Amino acid sequence: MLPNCKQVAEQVSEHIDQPLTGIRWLKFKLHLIMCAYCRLYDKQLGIATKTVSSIEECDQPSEELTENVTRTYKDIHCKHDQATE
Amino acid sequence: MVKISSLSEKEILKLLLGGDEAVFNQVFKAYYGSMQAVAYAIAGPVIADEVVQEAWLSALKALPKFEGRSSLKSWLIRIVANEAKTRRRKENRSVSLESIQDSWATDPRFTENSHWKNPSAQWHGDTPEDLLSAEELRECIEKNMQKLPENQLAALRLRDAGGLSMDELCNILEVSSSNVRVLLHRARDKVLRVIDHFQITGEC
Repeated sequence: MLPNCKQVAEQVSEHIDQPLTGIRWLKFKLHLIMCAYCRLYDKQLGIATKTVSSIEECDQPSEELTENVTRTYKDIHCKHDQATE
Repeated sequence: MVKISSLSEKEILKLLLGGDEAVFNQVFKAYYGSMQAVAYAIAGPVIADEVVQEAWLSALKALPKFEGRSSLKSWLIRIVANEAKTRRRKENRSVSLESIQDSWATDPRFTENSHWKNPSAQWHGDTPEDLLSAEELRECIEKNMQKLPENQLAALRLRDAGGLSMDELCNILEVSSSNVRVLLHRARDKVLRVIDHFQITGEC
């Protein structure tokens, strides 16, 4: 028996992380072929997931943190230089 | 100024080891979002930036020994995750394992037979860039992500922002792989509903 829409909705997310295989994959695909609403959900959950990644990736550090980490970079680079001289 | 997007990882590493501050600043800013998301998910919001800073200290010390077996980003993410786990132990903090708050069983978008009753609408845009051209939507997603149960938000950040593996998520969140799958699905589904609502109404 094929999975229902609610089960397919959960499998859509599972498939993003770990592709379904074998008979589960086949039933999932067959359901998607027959169900336009689940195809839409499949497409939109993919977009939503990528949107989260792109929002988080755009976060920018505070000036204070940038200064601190840059100072650390300079200090450590100087030490590496001294060690190799 | 050299843009890191036009350089290979080998070239970036060489410049970093050569003390190129401008390149370092670009690398730091490019990976900050993912590193902060992982630190936040494991160690909490208050010390997330401190954890990122400590992780960079460890990473920069170890950089001459970096062999490039993984990408620079994955290597940095592993360092920040380890740093955050250490801090979490010290601060005796754990991600709250409140039961998966599940309205999924009674989700009104589905019929009693678990088929779609109220599916989402067609969206005006197929990519994150299309969608996020509306600044209000970005703010709306961020606001609603903050309202997610802590374990769902942590799973979402670790996986979709940090790119950690499912095994690493199980390990960090101390839940089974099937629970991680549920946490991720519920969190992503919430983001989908937020976008859908915005697409239909133009409001958050």
